[in-house]
Amino acid sequence: MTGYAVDIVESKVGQVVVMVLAGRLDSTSVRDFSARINAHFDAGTNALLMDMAHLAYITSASFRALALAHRRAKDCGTALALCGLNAIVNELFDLTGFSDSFEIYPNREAGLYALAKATV
Amino acid sequence: MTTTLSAASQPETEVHIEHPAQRLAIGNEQAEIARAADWLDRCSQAIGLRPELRTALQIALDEVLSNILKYAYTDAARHAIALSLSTGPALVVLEVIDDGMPFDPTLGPADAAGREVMLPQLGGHGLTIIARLMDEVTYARRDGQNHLTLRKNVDPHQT
Repeated sequence: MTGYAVDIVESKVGQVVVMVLAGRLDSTSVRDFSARINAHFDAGTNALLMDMAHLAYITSASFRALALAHRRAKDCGTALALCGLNAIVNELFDLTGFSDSFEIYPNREAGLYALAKATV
Repeated sequence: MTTTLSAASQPETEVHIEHPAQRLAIGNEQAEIARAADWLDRCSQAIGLRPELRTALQIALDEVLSNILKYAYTDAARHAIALSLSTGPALVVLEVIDDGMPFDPTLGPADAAGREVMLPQLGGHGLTIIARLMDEVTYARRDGQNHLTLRKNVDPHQT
């Protein structure tokens, strides 16, 4: 991993924007992450799935960004879900209580299926 | 003043350094945190730490340094933050020294007097995460500096 920026690859599957995160979501890379999420809220995206399967770890700076994203998703009427959390990321979601706030699916297929139903 | 938050009840063993301590000095700006993460990754690989341990240390370091940058300094001056990574027979030790305002993270998110009380929106997740990932967190205020020592036990058969 170079530069410790998170890599974000986005694609659209039906009505669902899939945001694949790779690398490290920490206090340095969180600005890029927030900018990308907000761009989708600004664009009126119906459904957003964050695929974290390639994310090495997450730190509390990113939990703050996720909390803001959760709030904006509600305000904008955007269906928001996460998938593919690895063991340490999952543990931190449980520890911080964020597991209870987000729709979390084991993999991209399950997340896409749920969001596709939510946006019908 | 020294306070310790220990996850284990076993008596503290004497730290016998096996690898020479790796050191880095960084400035108090965000780009320097990325440099510190890079340094920690290189050191961890050189020592041969397992990926899970490297990840735990990386997360803890990001929590500590981002907290220092946000809350330790009230002036606009450039400050140096000293980092060191060393190992013992069955542990790895990461020490962070800053000359910011006193802050004892071992007091916990709810009781910490200082930075977090000034800015309650921080939420305390960083301290909770550090406490979970590290086996022992020790804080000392010496000579006008905060000395934070993070210890992580290492299974010698798995490194």
